[in-house]
Amino acid sequence: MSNQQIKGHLEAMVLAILESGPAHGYSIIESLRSESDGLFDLPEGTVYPALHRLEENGLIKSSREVVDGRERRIYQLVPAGLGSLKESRAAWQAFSSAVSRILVVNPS
Amino acid sequence: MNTIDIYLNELDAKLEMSQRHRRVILNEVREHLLDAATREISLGAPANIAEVNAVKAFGSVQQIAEGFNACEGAKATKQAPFITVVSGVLVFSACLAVAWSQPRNSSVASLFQQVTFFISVLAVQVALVSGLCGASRICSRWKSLESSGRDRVYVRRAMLISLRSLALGVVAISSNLLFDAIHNKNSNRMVIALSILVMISVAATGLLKLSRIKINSLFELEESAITPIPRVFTLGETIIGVIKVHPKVSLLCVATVAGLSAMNKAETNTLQQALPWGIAEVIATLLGFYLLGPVLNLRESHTDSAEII
Repeated sequence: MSNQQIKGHLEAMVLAILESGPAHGYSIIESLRSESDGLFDLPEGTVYPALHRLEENGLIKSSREVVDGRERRIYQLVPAGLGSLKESRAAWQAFSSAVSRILVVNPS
Repeated sequence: MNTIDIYLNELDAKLEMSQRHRRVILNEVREHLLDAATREISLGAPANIAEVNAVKAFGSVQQIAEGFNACEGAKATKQAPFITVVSGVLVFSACLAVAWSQPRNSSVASLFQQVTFFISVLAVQVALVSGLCGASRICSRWKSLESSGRDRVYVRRAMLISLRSLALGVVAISSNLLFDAIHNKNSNRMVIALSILVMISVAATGLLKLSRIKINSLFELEESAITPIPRVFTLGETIIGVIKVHPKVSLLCVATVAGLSAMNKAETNTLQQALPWGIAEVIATLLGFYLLGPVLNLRESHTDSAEII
């Protein structure tokens, strides 16, 4: 899967990962990789601008915590983010089922 | 200096934002790279190789800086219309303050006053149209997480034109008011002086603040995904689309209204005296549409001038 394809859905995937609880950047990237069985192998750093965008748009919030003497930035989903995630899920389901119908009905 | 520090220094040099924000980003990236290196070491890699692998997996400095800079640019782009609107409202308020405080004068305005008033009205019209164009684009992309570099270039360009026109209008109306203060003994000179001071300060501050905004558009110019938004937010873009499809009809309507309005507002006593100002307004509208149309995306351009920032 191309990076451009992933990029279009990155924010929604990050929101989905944060739905299960607060996490820091590194663990979000780990989750993205493991949940996709290694298919989403974006440069790890590209996830951070997405996190900052989501925070800027009020869909997540971050707080600083000191863990084992190291400062961590923990991200957490907020109600607006949950709403956005629901919208993204609905849009994706409509889109993917439409594409599937065409691809499955018209096999080469 | 280890590999992670070298990477962070290079990233620091490429980030275009405030020092405080850079520090937040660099701390976060450092934590990530340390986590990644620790994981590599736990899998058996030597420390120096672990750092190299961590940096490699994170992405090139250029790519990561572009991502952060675009994010910061999008934030700055949303601030631009606010700066312009606040400046416009303050200048307009200062003008109203002068208008209300001055005694009624039934004599015909001098040619200098008519010319400066005409220039200020024209400048405000350009400021209004450019400001509305920029604000329309921002509104239509408001819910989109990313704004493309093209959108950011457009908004900055429209807002700069708007504020420059506003500044020109301020200079023209200030000259007009100064003339009035010198030649009319009954004028309220204190209010005129204060208003001129407020208008010039506001226009200069707004222009300075706007020109300092870094929208980082050159980092990425490709289109971004647009989140669907209620139609009321895209009303401005829809109107711009209609103007673009029917430029001649739109221009005819606008020029007619503008010409009649200029004749109505001209400080003259007869229709004959007002007519030149109506004609001048129509010519200015046509000229403005010809010159600014491609820049504000109101009509197709035959040159690449619209791409010039």
